[in-house]
Amino acid sequence: MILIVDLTDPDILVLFDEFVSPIQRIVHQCGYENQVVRIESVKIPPSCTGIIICGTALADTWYRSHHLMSLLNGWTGPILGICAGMQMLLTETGGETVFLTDIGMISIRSTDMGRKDILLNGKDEFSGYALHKYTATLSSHWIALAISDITVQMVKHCSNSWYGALFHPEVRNEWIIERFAALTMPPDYGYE
Amino acid sequence: MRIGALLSGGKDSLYAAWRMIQTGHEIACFITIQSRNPESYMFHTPNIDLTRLQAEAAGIPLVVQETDGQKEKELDDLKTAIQQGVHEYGLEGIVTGAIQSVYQLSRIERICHQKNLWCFSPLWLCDQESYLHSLVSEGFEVIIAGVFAEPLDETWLGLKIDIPFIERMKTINKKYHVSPAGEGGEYESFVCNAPFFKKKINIIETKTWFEHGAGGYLITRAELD
Repeated sequence: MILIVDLTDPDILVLFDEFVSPIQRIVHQCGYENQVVRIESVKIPPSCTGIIICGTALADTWYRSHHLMSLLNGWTGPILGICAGMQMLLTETGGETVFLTDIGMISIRSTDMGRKDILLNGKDEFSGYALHKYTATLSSHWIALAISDITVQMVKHCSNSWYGALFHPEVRNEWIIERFAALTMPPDYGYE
Repeated sequence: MRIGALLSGGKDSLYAAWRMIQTGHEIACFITIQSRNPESYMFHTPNIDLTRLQAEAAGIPLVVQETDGQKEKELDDLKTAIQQGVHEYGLEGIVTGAIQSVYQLSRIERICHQKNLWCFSPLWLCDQESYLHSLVSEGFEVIIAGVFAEPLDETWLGLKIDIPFIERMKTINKKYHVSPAGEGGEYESFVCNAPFFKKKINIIETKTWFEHGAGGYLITRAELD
């Protein structure tokens, strides 16, 4: 079961439609069971095989006053952080927030490491939809899998199957979510 | 939050506005861009003049801005209209009916970002078939106001979006890959009634045309019930 984490402002319910529902629909259409949880109340059930942390609106900064790692409670299985979700993963593992606004379709190129990774394998270049006003620096725990002209667009944790996409893969790059969902299936992922 | 709803007269813009109302926001005004360019990527829709009647039916003020519809320059006119909405109605955000168009959405997102406004698109990447069912079950009365792709022909003009319509679109989608909600520009719609309208729009006179695979259902006279 894939846990989908909603980090949108809880006072603005309509953000769920735009930033969480599309992810849930893709995961469902790929044939994977899923469960949506709010970030404030994340509890990882034993059946969880992977976690997707969704993004949110450009003007939504609610997530920046919340934390993720303590809620994940030792989880080392697959995670895909999308946009704000990637920012949280990076900043809670030693990275620093950087102001950087980008809106619209951008060109993305895989790095050498990206070309070898299971998530991007065979995709040297593609276009992605950017919608962010922040990003984060990479600590030594992370490597860049893909870049645009102005910043790192995809990252992977050095030890765990934790990925981040600064762009929104649910827009025209559903294959990234499909590939991530597929790699949640091996049974050897989970708690330490 | 006080929201300005971009209004084209079609189902997507009005359903998006309804979704904002449903989730506790106030539509402080509608914003319509009247393009003189029928080829406009952003704004041209049939019966755009009748958004005045829709706004009146909903009891919500309307900001109208005309544009020559030149690519990218028309965005300046949209900025002007949004600014007017901010000034006159204290807008804090904009809602769009975008479903899949990155071209439209990214341009509106940029304007909202420049003006420090929220931008909402509750239909973004939605399941289009489910969305059409929601329209029908929640009381929207919508007709087809233009057809622009095979196999949609003049027989579709003026048709109501109802369950049989959705079933036909499902069949057509399988064979012709026509987007069920018309997001690819396959058809345009006009909303005669919505759950938040205080009055319904009655269509009195229409003029239809169909040539070279495209057609329109122009409403030449309509009134509030």
